[in-house]
Amino acid sequence: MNKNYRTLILALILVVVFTYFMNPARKQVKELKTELTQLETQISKSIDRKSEERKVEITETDLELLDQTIPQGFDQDFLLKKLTSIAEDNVVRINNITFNKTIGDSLSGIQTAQISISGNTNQANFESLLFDIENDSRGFIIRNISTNSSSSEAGTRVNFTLNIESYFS
Amino acid sequence: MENLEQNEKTPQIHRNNSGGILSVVLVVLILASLIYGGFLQFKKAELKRDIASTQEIIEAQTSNDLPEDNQEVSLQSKKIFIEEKKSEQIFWTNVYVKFDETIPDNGKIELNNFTGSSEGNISFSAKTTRASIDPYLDTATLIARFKDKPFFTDMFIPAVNSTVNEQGEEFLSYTVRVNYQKDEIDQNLIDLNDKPTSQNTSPDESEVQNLLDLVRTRTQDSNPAENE
Repeated sequence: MNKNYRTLILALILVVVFTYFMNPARKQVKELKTELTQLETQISKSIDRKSEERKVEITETDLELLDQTIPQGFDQDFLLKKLTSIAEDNVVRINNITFNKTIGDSLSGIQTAQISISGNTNQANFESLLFDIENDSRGFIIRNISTNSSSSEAGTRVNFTLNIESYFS
Repeated sequence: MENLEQNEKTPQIHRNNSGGILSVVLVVLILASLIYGGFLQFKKAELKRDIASTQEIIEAQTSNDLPEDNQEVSLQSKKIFIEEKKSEQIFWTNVYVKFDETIPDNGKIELNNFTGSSEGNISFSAKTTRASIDPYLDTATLIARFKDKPFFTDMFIPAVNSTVNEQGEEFLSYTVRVNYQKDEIDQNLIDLNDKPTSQNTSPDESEVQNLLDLVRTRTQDSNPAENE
């Protein structure tokens, strides 16, 4: 009977050691290894980026283009004016514009302005709006597009939402 | 009698022995767990040291950038960044032109909802109209047209719903999923946008228009039978 108790106690000790000592330590080591790998990847990316940057030549054209597409600071006023002006030129009714700022690239510190525009117009004006946004010198990239068309005698009416990205530093 | 006593003692001895062995095994396991746990604690401390030194390297890398150097690096980073973004860009104007060329222009199929993502995943809902005498055949033609175009891949219609109106006319409605693959025309549009405004003659609509015309011409050329 005593021996049975001893075996039971030893089994309990084993369970306790495994649950509260070995297993948490194993999980922590795994987490720390992942963290270290991420940091090492960050260093390696940074080194790669720096060596890549050294190879890149900046011309006068690049300077002008970069000044337009990645200006210093968040130019929300300019973005708002620009987009509403493009919409106005294409006879597009804008119902809603939302702005959001996110980190575009953690290594270089470039930030992304995420702009969502909802509105309505006819099919031809909508395609013309896309054309003007995509070819604007400020540099807009349409990430996602969503339209809902309805046909009537007056033509095709398009309700749309565009998710656009623009960049600044 | 002696034999009987001997037989009764044997299982008791076996039980005692097996209990003893189990205890020894458990003690060994406990010791092994403690040793392995100790090793893990040591490993944990070592990893924490490595993480701290790696973080120091990252901080040193950041702070080692001289201010004047930073300006130069910043421009180069910007150039790399914008080139990466541009290379991923989908020109939806180009996609719409290709759509117009692909969908039969006979008024037999009407598109309603269209969604597109930067990964090139496109989804739209379509329905046949009154002009469609054989809606299944027109739907099959639509599928065939998409399959013929190299820039549209993996076209898939999960389900086709049929409705019949009071006049007995049948209408089909369905959602189409397709992937858009960028081609050299998208690249040309990227290259064209890689010019600052001072080098563009009025955001060079003529050149872009030429590209869009080229899309139309190329699509017609790729399908001469359909155009005849």
